[in-house]
Amino acid sequence: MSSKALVVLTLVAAGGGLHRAGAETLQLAGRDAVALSAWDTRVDALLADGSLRLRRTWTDTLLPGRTHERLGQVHRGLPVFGAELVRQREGGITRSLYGTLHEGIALDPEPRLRVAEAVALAEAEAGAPSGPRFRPELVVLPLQAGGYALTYLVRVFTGGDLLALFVDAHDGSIRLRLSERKTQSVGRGTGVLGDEKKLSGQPQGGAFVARDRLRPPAIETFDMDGNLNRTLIYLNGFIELDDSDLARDSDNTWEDGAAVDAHVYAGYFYDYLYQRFGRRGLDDADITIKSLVHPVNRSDLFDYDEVIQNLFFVNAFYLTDGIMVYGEGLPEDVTFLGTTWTYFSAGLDVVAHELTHGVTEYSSRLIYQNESGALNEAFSDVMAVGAEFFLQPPGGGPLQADYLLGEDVLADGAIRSVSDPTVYGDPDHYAVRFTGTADSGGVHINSGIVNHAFFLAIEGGTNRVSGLAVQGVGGANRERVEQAFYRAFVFLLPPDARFQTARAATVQAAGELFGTGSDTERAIRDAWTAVGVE
Amino acid sequence: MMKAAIPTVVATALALAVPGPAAAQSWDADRVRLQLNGVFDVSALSYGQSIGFTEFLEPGSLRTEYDADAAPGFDFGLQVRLFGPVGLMASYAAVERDAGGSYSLEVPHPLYFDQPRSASGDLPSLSYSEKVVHLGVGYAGGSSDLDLAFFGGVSLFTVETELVEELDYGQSYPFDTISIAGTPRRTQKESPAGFHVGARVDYRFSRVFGLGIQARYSRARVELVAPDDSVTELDAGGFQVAAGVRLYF
Repeated sequence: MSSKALVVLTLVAAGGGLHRAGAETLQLAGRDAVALSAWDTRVDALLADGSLRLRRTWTDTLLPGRTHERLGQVHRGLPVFGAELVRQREGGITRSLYGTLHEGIALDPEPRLRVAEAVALAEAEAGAPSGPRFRPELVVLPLQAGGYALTYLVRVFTGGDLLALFVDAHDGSIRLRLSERKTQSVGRGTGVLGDEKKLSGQPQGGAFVARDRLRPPAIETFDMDGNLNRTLIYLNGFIELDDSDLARDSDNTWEDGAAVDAHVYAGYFYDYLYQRFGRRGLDDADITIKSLVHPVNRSDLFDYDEVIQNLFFVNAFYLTDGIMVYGEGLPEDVTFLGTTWTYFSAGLDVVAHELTHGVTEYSSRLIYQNESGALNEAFSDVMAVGAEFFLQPPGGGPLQADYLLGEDVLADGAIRSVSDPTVYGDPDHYAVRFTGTADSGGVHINSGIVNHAFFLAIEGGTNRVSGLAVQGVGGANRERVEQAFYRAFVFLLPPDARFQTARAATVQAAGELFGTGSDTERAIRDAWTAVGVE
Repeated sequence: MMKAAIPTVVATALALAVPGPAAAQSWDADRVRLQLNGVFDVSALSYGQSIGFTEFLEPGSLRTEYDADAAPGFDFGLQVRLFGPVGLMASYAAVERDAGGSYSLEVPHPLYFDQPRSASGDLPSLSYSEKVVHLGVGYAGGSSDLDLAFFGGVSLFTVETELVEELDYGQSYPFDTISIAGTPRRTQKESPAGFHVGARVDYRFSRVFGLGIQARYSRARVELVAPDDSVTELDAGGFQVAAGVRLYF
């Protein structure tokens, strides 16, 4: 059960460095090709005599021509738990070696305990049966205190955890107990509108919290539980939210629609950015997306002044640094602008719109007033529409992709229309643009002009004011117009851009992406002309 | 080509060994006969499994198809005359087949409903072995040198086959595809009972030594139980031809 001489070799021989940890420590100089070659030869010998077994070979997806071999250590036919070398090769030449090898294992591989006895002991330890999915395996277990034990590795799923129990194959004692439950879990969530979605969360303290680590960035959704004071303190940067603030569910079947939609749609929008444009999140560096839901209680609506009502009940906003706040909507018996309003996270387009402000924050930083502000808003609308068509089936009902903004939040109507901005009082031509100072110079108003150009470039049609007809690229090619707008707004526009700049940038982007004189370039140029931006 | 040759071999054997007036002399001459055959299991086997599982809240599936080739083996047997032309026969036969197959895996998407990812591929170099104890009754006839026997009885199979019942797959964001990282195998062993029927022709060169050929059909139903408790049935055995030496006591 114990080894004559425990020698644990930990190789960190990338480029030649070699480190031997434990009783003996060997530190070789980095890039020591001689040492690497010597170890490589030894690894080949160990493979030949069966002390190492090739477990798997991967092809490197980032560096062509490279492969990675995982070589598991074997003692008299039994795997040594955790003992593995990873060898990176290129054209038959070993580039690096990492891993641990145990030497001097003196262990009789014949167990005294039968498999059934080991399983029974493991089941007694776990308090649950070990099903046929988990087949017991005889392994050599390196012990923390030194030496080795011949053990049965028995896995038991208890319902709340996946346990790996190492039962001593001689005396039946539990040598090691590991929890192998992966920390990420996929739950089922019901959105505000009753639709079911997969929700990526994490188990924590017997429940599940809304922290998505399946995607490259952390996506976290916090339930502010109607505590506006705490929300404001956080938004002002006086406190940090912690895990106890995360939205949570006891059984991973989530029913808080506001939290479900905020969390899931943030992930969807990340997917849209990544798959459509190759962008890694708001800052293209996987910044954490933090969504705050329930900043107020609906029932407290009339306890607040108009500013709070407008911001935290019938609005959603992007703060900065990846932080989003979603309005609570209105009590069911209260209407605003002639209709009832539900949680703002219910709209994929709302979520995408607000998060696109984050993209703008980390790219063009369009100044939020006058024409540059309208471009800022328009880019968010364009991306919101794009995300809907990317992720939802086209149609005119709830949870369907269209050219309206906010239609899943309002019981009747929408907030804006990209196809016909005039329906909601916004201009569709530069000649009729808003020139006042309200709304920061009409940022949510004049965005209609840009939006309409985007719509015409895709779907085609005639501008109401100019009477000019545009042949769009068609819905099947919408990604071309989206990519041209994305390229222009993210890479080409300066913070103080005007509509004319946006026209030039989007036309240039289309030409660069799809060719000068391409249908996409022509459609975008004609669309800008049709809305009066020359 | 092998299948076409089998009826010819059997028909020739039968024609050579039509029981004549001296029928049953071979049994009378010696009570015990040992036989050692090289055999060829002519029948190829095809079987498969369809295994369901739940992953990321949705059902997934693994479908495997296997083919076990015709293969050589050996057969060791004993014949004991009871009375007249009737005797008891017992033999042990073993065949190792080369098996291979293919898989088709469908795994749900971790982030979206109704967007499964799929992968398929080959499963080379799987093992399949049959070890069979045949116990039966024979009826023999012919001359003192050449005799023909028909036999039949129960067959006790032990079938060991490597199966792939779960796959190691890799995935990474955006999870649109999966890559198969490993095809771990599990050996499943079943011991069903079946039957056999056959015929053999032996030619005796001396008092203790002879040569013979044999054809036998055996069959047993094997139930392969998958991790999801689904059962796939496989017909083990098949048609087998053999030739070898005979020792008379």
